[in-house]
Amino acid sequence: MSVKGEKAWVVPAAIVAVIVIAISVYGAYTFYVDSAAGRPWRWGTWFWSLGRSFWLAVGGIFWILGTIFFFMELGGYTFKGLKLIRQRIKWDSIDIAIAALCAAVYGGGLTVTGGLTIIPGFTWIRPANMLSPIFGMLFGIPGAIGTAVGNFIADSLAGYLGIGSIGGFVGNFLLAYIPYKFMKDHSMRSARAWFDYYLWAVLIGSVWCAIYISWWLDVLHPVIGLPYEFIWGFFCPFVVVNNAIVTAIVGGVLAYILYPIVKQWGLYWADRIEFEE
Amino acid sequence: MAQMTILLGLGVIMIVAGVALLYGLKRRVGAALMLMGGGWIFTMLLYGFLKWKGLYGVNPAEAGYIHNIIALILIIVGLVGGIYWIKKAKG
Repeated sequence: MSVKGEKAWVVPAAIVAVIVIAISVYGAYTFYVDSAAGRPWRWGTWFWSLGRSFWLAVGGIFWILGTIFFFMELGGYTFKGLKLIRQRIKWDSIDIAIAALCAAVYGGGLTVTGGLTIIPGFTWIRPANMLSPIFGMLFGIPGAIGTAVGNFIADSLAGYLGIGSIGGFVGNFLLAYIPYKFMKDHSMRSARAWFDYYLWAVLIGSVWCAIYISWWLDVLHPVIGLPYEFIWGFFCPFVVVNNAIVTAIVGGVLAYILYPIVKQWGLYWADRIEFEE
Repeated sequence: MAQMTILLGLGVIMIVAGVALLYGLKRRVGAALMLMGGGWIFTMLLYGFLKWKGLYGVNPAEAGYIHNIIALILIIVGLVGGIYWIKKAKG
């Protein structure tokens, strides 16, 4: 990108970063204040005020698209712009090792800080949440698959394993997949990269993942039995904030540090994948 | 229990499909399916172990932080094993 073109992205990147960080910090702050005061979380109330029909319709779109992306990528197809093309992921021992490494680090990372409670019975510090977009950005589909498996392992350790975990599996795949697929530059060494990071990895990734899982929990209500108000009025906004806050504050810097190391090792996804136009 | 049976069944299906794709149809994506299936079965074993020990769903502080210790071991084994495997594969 030209110096002039690069400069044009500095202001939008700064604006989107400030907005996204402010939203996630404000969300966490209101959660803390409202929970401490014993009143309903205002974000949850706002989410629920949009109505179940709204979330069912919007969530359905997110869910169908997300599921198509998951199976399409696994089936060896992807899109470039609006064109559907074939891709060749090697799935050799290196790709398998990358996916297994991501699964172990993400699954273990989500659970290892369990017990460092912020609000008893509600949440704890989960710094590993920031790893999912990084794994996607650096390792592509093997990283996204590792993230999905890692979340499944964490569900078991945290005591949340159930049929709802299938939604968490694909939801966390998307959390890694969205920045991998939609960011133009994963090096984090340009203003455009930071703009894309805050837009796709933090904002859209977190929201998509939360809505995907929530919709799955909603349609499985007869089996799982979670109240609709809890799903859309607490769980969904909570997952957005929980994913977004560490990703917004620390994730970008970590991606900046890790990119040259991964690239030097020849593990960056773009150096290992082939596309058939 | 029925939910766990479904999850276990899905894990087994993924492994069987992965083996069929990788060794039968010579499709490399089978390795990815086997990895996912393996991850599922590992998770179910972890669940079974915690349930058997009466630690499943128990607050970490009450369980002596056993979940945290398992998670830490998982990170170390995953990192060391993954890096060793990658280095070995790269020669």
